[in-house]
Amino acid sequence: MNKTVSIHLQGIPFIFEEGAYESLDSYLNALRKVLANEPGLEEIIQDVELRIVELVQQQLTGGKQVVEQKVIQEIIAKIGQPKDFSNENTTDAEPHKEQSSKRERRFFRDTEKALLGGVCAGAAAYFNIDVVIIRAIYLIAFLSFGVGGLLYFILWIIIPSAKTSSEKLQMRGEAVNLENMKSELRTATNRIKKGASSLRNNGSVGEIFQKSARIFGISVGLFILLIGTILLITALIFLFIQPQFIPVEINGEHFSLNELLPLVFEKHIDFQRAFWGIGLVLLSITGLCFVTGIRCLKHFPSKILYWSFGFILLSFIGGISLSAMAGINFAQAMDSYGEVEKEVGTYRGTHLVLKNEQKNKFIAGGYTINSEGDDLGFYVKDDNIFFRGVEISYEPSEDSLFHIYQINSSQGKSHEHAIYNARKVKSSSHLMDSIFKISPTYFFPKTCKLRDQKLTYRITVPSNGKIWHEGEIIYPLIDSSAMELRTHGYFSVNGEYSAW
Amino acid sequence: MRKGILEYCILSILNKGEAYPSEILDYLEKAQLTVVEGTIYPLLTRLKNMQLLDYRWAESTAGPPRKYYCITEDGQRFLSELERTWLELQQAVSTITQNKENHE
Repeated sequence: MNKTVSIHLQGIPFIFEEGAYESLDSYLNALRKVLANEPGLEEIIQDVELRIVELVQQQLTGGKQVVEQKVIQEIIAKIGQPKDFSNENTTDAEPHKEQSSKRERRFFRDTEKALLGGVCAGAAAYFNIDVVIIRAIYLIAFLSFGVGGLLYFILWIIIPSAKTSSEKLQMRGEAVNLENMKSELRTATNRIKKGASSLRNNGSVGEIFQKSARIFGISVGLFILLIGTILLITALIFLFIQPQFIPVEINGEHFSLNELLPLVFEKHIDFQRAFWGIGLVLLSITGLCFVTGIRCLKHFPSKILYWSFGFILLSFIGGISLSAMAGINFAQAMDSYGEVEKEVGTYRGTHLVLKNEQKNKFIAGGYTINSEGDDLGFYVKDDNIFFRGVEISYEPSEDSLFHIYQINSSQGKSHEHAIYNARKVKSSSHLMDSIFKISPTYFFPKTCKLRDQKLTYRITVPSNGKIWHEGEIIYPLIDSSAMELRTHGYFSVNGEYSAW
Repeated sequence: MRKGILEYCILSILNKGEAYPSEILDYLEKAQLTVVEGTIYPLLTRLKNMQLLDYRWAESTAGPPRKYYCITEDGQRFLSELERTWLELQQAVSTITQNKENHE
């Protein structure tokens, strides 16, 4: 005769033999002890108890009501000893640490999947996105904005590569524990073996992939080299030969940057800074293209790579700072605005005629104007800088006379300086009786530098006065669409007049 | 090694449809994969904590309610990763073993 106890297991009542109960109780306690470090312990115990209930119920068929110790021992044998529960888990002896480090991802470069430095592959691992997508986004950004290039190399330099197994796991945000490290090592060995076997075994999928990646790398490399070459040529032309895109000419020839900069900067040192600054920036970008391009085609030691990128970065930063220094000085030189106004002449009458000065004509000051070409820009002749195109504004006169005023304006580092620069602006326009002969070109000495000098004529018109140009009234002129009086005009270098 | 495979198997089983632990054990047994029952309970809980699995309670005709496990979207993603690794491993192993034979 055996003593029995009545118990509830997962809410189901059972009658157990005392020995059966003791076995089960100590079994469950042992389980708790073994799994003490496991998060979700209660749930595991719950699952086990549910299973026990299920198995006990299977045993209680055929009128049996009491659960014997033998049955419980069989069930325990079936489910497994406590050590079986922990058997596989001895490796993750620190499951708590595993949990806490689990979500912690770190940004490493993935050199194993790298095309270049593995920044994209590392980002792909970090954000858990396919690396192809990252590369595509990066390439689009690089081609459309052109900013990515330098960023990539900065990241390449500052982000460490994942070297150890634990770093590789952290890169992918996986828990750093023995189990994962083992699997990481396994895949690494696997990869090496695969690489070795693919050397012997032509035509494997891995090799086809590697080949296509290589071809992709080579074409990217060639493309970058091409860009670098174009940049280099452009930079050299820009620096020393003829930047056609800058509409500046000297004696009919286009300026080089070298000749242009002295017209902008007051001090020789600033012009040197700007020249070398722009030069360094251009050359560092060119160098970047070359190193990257060559790296895509040919592997060379990372030490050389680091050195060259360091050098490139340095010259880039140097170039930017030099340009910035020159830029700040230029900005200071352009700080203040000043204008001077003087009366060119007065005329009594009702008709004032504006007439363009003849082209290619000798003008006061002894300079010959070569007036061919477009409106834009300026040119330099001897010691003067010539600008093309003058503005005219009209307003009602306060008396019965036409008054013509010439307004010179300029920037300068101080108001006095700006005024000084403004005074230096000259024009050969003059009034002869009723005819105002306008020269569409104004000039100032080279020594004044380019300080946004402008020349405007202000003409005041008496109440019944009219201004003519080439047989047409140009003031007062009502704009047929806006019904507004047009109070501005502009003479281009070709002598074409337009009202606005 | 075995643990990884067991996880793979469990996720694969649950990918076909939800199941409670005894059913999972039956599947494994049918496939003649000898597993100590005890190992799968901590595993299920761990997978659930990793949000690869979820479960719901369902009444059963006899006995206590059953815990039906099912796979989550994360789990499916993880499974496809495992599948890929498995295929790679399989391929690598067969490549190596075949090469060995060729050399010998």
